[in-house]
This record gives sequence, C-alpha cells and structure tokens, in this order.
Amino acid sequence: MPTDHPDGTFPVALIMADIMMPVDIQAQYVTLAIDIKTQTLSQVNINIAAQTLGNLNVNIAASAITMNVAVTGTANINITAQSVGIYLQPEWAAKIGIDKNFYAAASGQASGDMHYGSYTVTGGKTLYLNTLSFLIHADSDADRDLPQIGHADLVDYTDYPTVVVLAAIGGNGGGGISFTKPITLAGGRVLRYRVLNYSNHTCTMGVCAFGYEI
Amino acid sequence: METGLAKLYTGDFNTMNQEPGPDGTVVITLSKRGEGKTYRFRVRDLYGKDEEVLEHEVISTKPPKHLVKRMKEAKKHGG
Repeated sequence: MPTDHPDGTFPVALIMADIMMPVDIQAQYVTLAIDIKTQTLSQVNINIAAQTLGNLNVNIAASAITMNVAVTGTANINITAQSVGIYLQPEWAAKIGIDKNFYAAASGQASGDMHYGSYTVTGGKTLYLNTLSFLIHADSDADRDLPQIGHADLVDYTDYPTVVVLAAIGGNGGGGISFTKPITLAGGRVLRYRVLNYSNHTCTMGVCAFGYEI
Repeated sequence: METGLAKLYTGDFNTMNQEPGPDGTVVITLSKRGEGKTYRFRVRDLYGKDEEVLEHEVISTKPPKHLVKRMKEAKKHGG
C-alpha cells in the first residue's frame, strides 16, 4: 500500500454525509483512535475478544445514556465525575418499575391463627425478596396492654406439604428485617408470606414482603 | 381471563394486597405505578385447579382533577 508518511502510517480522513464502514482488524497490535462527533449516534456495538486488553477508555458525554456492559473477569471502574448516580439493584428495580410489594392483612385472627398471602413467581423470571415485616395488635381494647406476640415468615410453598422456610422473624407488636442478600425464588415457585398469632387473644395481623422480579 | 388475573400471572404490577373473604375466597388488589388503574378482584381457589374470579373491577387511581389543575398552576408560578 502506498504511503507518503515517513513512519509508514497511512492516515485516512473521511468527510461524508453518511458513512458505513465495516472494519475487521486482525493485526497483532493495534492503536485505534475513534472520534465520533455526529449529531446523534443511535448505537455503538463494541466487541473486544482480545486475549488481553491493556486499557479501554470510554468518555461518554451524552446527557442520557443506557450502557450495558458485560464483563468476564475483573472490571475496575473509576468515576471522577462531580456527581454520578449509582443504584443498587433493589433501588434500580423500583426506579424502573419492576419492584414487587406484597401485603396481606386480616382482623379477627384468634390465638394460633395464621394469615397469609400467596404469589406464584412469573414464568421465566426470578423473584428477589429483600424485606420482610409484620404487625400484630389486639382487636379488643381490653387486650391492648397484653403482649401481642407474632411470628412472620417467607416460605416456598410449591411442594406442599413440604414447606421450605426461607426467612422468619418474631416479635411483640410486629417487626421487620432487611436481608443482606436477597432471597430468591425461580419462576413458577409459590411464595407464601405468613403471619401467625402467638398471643393469647384475637388480633389484627399484617405481613409485608418487598423485593423485585427480573 | 379477567385483566386483573392476567396481570397477576404475568407479574405486571408493583403492589399486591390480599384480604381473606368470609367464605374462603381472597380479594386481591393489584396496582402498578403510572398506570392510573387498580385491579381489585375476588378469587376462589387462588392458584388451584378450580380457580375462579367471582368479582372484578377496575378502579381509576388518577389524582383528582382539581389537584392536577392546581399542580399545573404551581408549575407556572415557578414551583
């Protein structure tokens, strides 16, 4: 290939309205600088299959962008922006509207009674639960100075009569717990969130389970 | 299939409340943010072989018109 540069490089400048340029580089060593300044850039797909990749700098100055990155190995991210929003998955789920909030409540629950709600996880998705809470209080004014002992749990009810307890809490008047790791249920599994009355009088009870489904 | 039940099976909701009925049925209330509708239905034998929706209603949950109007006015005034 002819070249007019003393170092053997071959600069290319393209000035056109529309460019479609498939590039297949199979050299052993490549330095490739790309500067795209189009008005709008709908999509950029970059697939790097090198054995080793020394350094990849990406500078995105768009006002809004969704960036999906799949990394096998270790990804080091250094954010030096003045402000940046980073969401943990539960927060992100709520932001994009895939969070799930379950609640079941009933009054008139006698001592030893159980109240529950059920949900069958959507096929092809996984339910992640990160919070369980419950409340229990006496129905009768005369009982309200007594302990209101309750027990709440999350169970996998799919294979009933075999019931797998996934999480449980107890307390006087209610309680709640956030899990440091989410409890997961695969699509088609049956979740039951339950609350039991362990006080010696009739109560109103409620149970909440929060999470998200992807 | 009633819309509410379809939403339950496709997971197309954010909140679900379940209340027991006196006859063993369950009243389910499903809502999804931004949809402006709540689906409330009574089911017999939920998730069972003989599951049946006995009652079904769609409730509008949009904010009252006077509040929407007031919010628009507030925006105009730099709120």
